[in-house]
Formats: sequence, structure tokens, C-alpha cells
Amino acid sequence: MKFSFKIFVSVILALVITLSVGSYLLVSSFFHSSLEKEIASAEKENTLFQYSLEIAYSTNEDFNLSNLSAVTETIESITSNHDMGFRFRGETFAQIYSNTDITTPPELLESIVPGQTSLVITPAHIIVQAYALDMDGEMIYVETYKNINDVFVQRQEFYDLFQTLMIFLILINSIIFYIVALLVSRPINKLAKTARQLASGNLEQRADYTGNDEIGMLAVDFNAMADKLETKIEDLEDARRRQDDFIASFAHELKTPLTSVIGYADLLRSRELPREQVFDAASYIFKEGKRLESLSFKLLDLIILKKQELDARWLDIATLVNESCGYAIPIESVEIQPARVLVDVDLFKTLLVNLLDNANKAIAEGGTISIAGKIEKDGYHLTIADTGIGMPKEELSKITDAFYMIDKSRTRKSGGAGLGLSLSQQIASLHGAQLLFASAPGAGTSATIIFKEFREESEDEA
Amino acid sequence: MKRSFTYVWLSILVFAVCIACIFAPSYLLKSKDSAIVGQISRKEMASAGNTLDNKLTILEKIDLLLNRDTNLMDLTQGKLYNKETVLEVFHQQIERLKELGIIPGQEYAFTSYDLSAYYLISMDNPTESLIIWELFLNTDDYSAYFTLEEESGLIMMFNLSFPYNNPFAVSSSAGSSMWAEYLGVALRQREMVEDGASKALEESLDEQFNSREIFYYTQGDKTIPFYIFLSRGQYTISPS
Repeated sequence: MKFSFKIFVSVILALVITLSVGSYLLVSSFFHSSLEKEIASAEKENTLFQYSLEIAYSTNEDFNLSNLSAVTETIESITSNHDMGFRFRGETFAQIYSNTDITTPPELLESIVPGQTSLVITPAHIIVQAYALDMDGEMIYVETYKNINDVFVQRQEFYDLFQTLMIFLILINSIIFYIVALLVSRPINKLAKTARQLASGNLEQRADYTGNDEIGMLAVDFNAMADKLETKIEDLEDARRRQDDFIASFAHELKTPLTSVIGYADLLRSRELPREQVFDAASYIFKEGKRLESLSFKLLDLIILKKQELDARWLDIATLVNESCGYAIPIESVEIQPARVLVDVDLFKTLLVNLLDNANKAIAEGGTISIAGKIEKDGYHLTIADTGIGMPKEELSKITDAFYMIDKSRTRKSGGAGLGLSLSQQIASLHGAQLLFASAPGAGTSATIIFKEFREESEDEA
Repeated sequence: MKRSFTYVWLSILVFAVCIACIFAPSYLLKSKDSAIVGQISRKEMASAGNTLDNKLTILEKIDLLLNRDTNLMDLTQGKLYNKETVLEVFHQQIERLKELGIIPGQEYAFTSYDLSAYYLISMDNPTESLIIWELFLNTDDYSAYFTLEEESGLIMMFNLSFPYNNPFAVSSSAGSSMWAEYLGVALRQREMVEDGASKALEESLDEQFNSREIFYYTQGDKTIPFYIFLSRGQYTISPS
């Protein structure tokens, strides 16, 4: 159900019920107030009539029960101002005198108790009051009548007016509220339309409502959410693309050595080869096998790293660097400013070895490697720099991707699979450190590990 | 399909509620009439005799006399006096007024008179009522009108008319204080009223006897203004 229809229905129902209850209470209250006034007035008039009758009876010698008609004029003068009907009855309830043809309900006559006035409103909306008067030992029954039909007629007229007014108000307000409901729901509909477009894949779609109300705030939040969603989806797509690339690269890395291995193996089993060629083929199979083994180990490392918890300790950087350089890599200079960092020894050594190995490969055709450790403003900088072949600047952002190789033939020739720097990047991240590269073709490459947390004193001092 | 059905169903429901809200209160009001119509209630009634012993002060009675929201009924006789016995009361009260110097000390002959009795009852509060007597005297020398309240036996107002060349020496200030003494009330203040009619009258009559003044008489919480109109041929004391 449309939101505008819900608003419309709710408001109309609220209006109708409020008007109905309000008019009922108003008319009812007015009616009861008028009725009470009329009853009070009738009671007063009845009392006036009773007193006047008693005075007239006690002061007029001609006024007696056997000759009531003789004083009719006097009695009429009592009631002339009040439009009051009255009736006298004898002890047997037989009528003695009456100026009206209104009948009294029999149950009212039966309810008369001496000293009390009985009152009833008849279905014809006439207040009838009856009481007994003792006149010189003889009991007469007096009934007075007051027509209050006007009160009931007025109530009906009021309510008829309210009904007409209600119908008019409902019709007018239905139109007004329908338009208002449409106007109120329009920005919501636009927002919903935008959400649908977003859901259907149009990630650039944004809500264009700019009001300062709640819907405006919702539109702003919605757009912010859409921005984040777009970024997230782009990231996911990027990750998926990387994963595809990873699988493709991995398949390719497997296929290349395996093709050669299968070829050489087939050659060995299908022909009789001279011993020298057999040795070459076996050597090739061994070398490619080792490369595949190395590849599988590094892949294993990558997978394990994602799940591994660090066994970190505060260690002296210089010691770590010295232990990592134990391999046969020519280092021209090592300048380490003493400091300790919180690292997992094995993982950190892997990181250093990877970086030194890359530097070593880079200087294969000539160059030097230097290691420097320095305390800077943003942390401890450990830099491994070479003066090797270097690489173009645009390649720097890709070199930490798995299986990425700038010169594939050269990398494979040197036994690499393009996983070393990816592994190094992850190890640095695990330690809360940054791994940054700077390079230029022919000028060499520098890899800097930045530790944000470090201690300046050396391990010996501690 | 289901959605359209919901709209139709809800529209019918709203329409039904509207119709119910428009017409139900009228039905409800009429149905509640059964609690009003045909129900007998009883109330204690008082006797008219009690209303004449209502202990109203003289000023309260005069106030009731001035009240327009009263019912007046002609009586052939009073509750205490009849037309013969009330004349003696009038005679006594006129003598008392003469003694106090409120009216000229001449003889007021009851040779030609007209006497009426009325029962006056408040419509607002029927327990307040009184019987008044009005006496008109008419001779060649003067005409007079007195209103007397039966229970207290006091004259509440009067008017005397004399021929033009028959002045009498009563000043309004003296009359006002004596009138307070007669009624047994206090004279609070005096206010001179001048209007076009009295001014015109002043010009044509002797200054000594031309005045129209309002005096306030107090008894308990009640204050009633009386005007005393005095000219060569007219003398009236009446509540205003």
C-alpha cells in the first residue's frame, strides 16, 4: 500500500472520528445544559403557580373547589406570562378544570406523594409536574405542563447542521489531505526510486532531494550510504579481479615449468639419449621441481600468514639485520642506529631476506647493496637500497601483487614466482609497519620498513 | 490483484467509518433520550404561606418591588388585612408620615378612594414574595397615591398632587432624613440630579420648592436609591 494512501486514510479517519466525537459531546453538552435550564425553569414556574394558587385560594372568597371556573381569569393571569398549561383534579383524579388537552401519564398521577412534586418528561417532550394540595381538608391534584420540545428540536437542528458541516469538511479535507499526502510522499517515492535503481546496479544514482526536513536528512544519509556502497563494491570487484589474476598467474606459473618437466620426462622415457643429454634433462626437471617446491612453500606462507598470530618480542634491529645478512649476499654498508622493535623473529627475517634477495637479483649485472636504520619523526626507518637496474615508477604500485613480475623471463630464470614482495608486504602489515618502495630505472631501488612503535635503547643497554 | 483488493477494501472501510461517524451520534443522542423521557423524579415542595414569612428587610422588599422579573397577581384581599381593615393601617401610617414632617400636616380624607391588593413573587427565587396594597385618594384639594407593604405595614412610596397655588413647606433634605427614620434604614449619601425636564420645571416654579434629588438608603448589604421630587404642586418619594 502506498505511503500517501496510508497518510490520507489515517488523517481522514482521525478527522472524521474527532469531528464526530466532538460534535456529539458539544451537542450533548449543550442539550443537557438547555434541558436542565428548562427543567429548572419549569420547576420555578410550577412553584410560582403553586404559590400563586395558594395565595389566590386563601385571599379570594370566591375561589373554591366547587366553583373553580369563577376564578379562571385569576388562574390564567398567573400563567399568562409563562405559556403554562395546568389541570386540577379531585380526590378521585376526576378533572375539575383544565386549560389544556395535554394528557398526564397515569403512572405520574399514581406516583404523587403528599408534600412532594412529581416530575416527568413525556415522549411528546412536555414536562409534567403533579402534586397534591390540601384545600381546607379537601385534596386536589394539580398538574402543570411546560412544552420543551424546542430543546429537542434545537438539538436535532444543531446536529443536522453538524452533519452537513461534517460532510462538507470531510469532502474538502479529503481533497486537501490527498494533495498533502502526495506532496509529503513525493520525496520518499523519489528516494525509493533511487534505491531501486541502486539495487539494480546503477551505483552512480543519488537522491536529489535537498530539503532541511527529516526526508532531506534521510536523503543525505542515503547518499552517504550509496557512496560507501559504491566504494565497497568497487573494492570487492577489485579484489575479485585480483583473485582472478592470482588464479590465472598461479595456473600459468604451474603450467610453464610443468610443460618443460613433462617434455623432458617424455624425452627420457621414450628415447635412448646420450648420458650428457640425460643429465641436462634431469637437471632441468630438478631445477623446475625445486622452483615449484619454492612456489608452493611461498603460497603456503601467504595462506598461513593470514591466519597466524604473532609471537612478537622486543628485539635489537642491528642483530636482526646481521643475522639476516648471514646469507651469501654482498652488502657494501650497514649503518644501523640502535633501537629495538616488536617483531616475530622468523617472520621478520623472512621479510629482510626477501628484500635482500630482490636487491641481490637487481644487482646481478653490477651494483651495490646498503642497509641503513634511522630514527625519524614518523618512526624507525630501516632501508635496504641497491644501485641495480631499478624499475619504472608506475610499476611500484603493482610489485606487491602476488605473481606480479616486471621481467617474467628474468624472474623465472632466477627461480622467482613473483610472490616475495607480496609476502613481505603482508609481514610488514602484521607488524603494524609500513613497507614503501622508491625506484628509478638504472638508479636502483630502495625498500623502507617504517616501524611506528620502537624503543631507542639497544638490547645490550636493556 | 491483491493490492487492488486491499485498496478497495480499505476505501470501503473508510467510507463506512465516515458514514457511521456522521450518523451514529444522532442515533446515540436519541437512544439516550430513554434515560430522560418517562423517568419520574420527586422533589420536596414548600407552602406559599412560608414565602410570606420570608424575613425580607424593608429594603429587600422594595428591591423586589422594583424587580422586573416578578410575577404580579391581583388579589381581592390580603393575607393579614381585607379592604376594610387595611384602611386603618393606611390611616395610621399617613399620620406617622405627618408626625415626622414627611408629608404636609393636613387632613387626608378617605371619602373617595380606590384600593387594590397584589401578590408579588420573584420568578428567579419564588421563596421571595410580598403582598402590597395601593391606595388612591382623590379630592378637589389634592390627589394622593400610597403603596403599602402588608407584612411590615409600612408605606414604601407615595405621590401627592396639589393645585398649583397650594404650596407646602417641605424641603427635600429634611424629607430624605425623615424618610430614612420612617423606614428604619440609614441615609448614606445624597446626589443632585438635573435633567432637561426638571430644569424646565425649575424655570416655571418657585426655586425653593423645585428639586429632584436621589438619596441612597442602606440596610444591611442592601442599598436602594430613592428620588425625592419636590415642586409647588408635586411631591413624590419613590425608589428608582
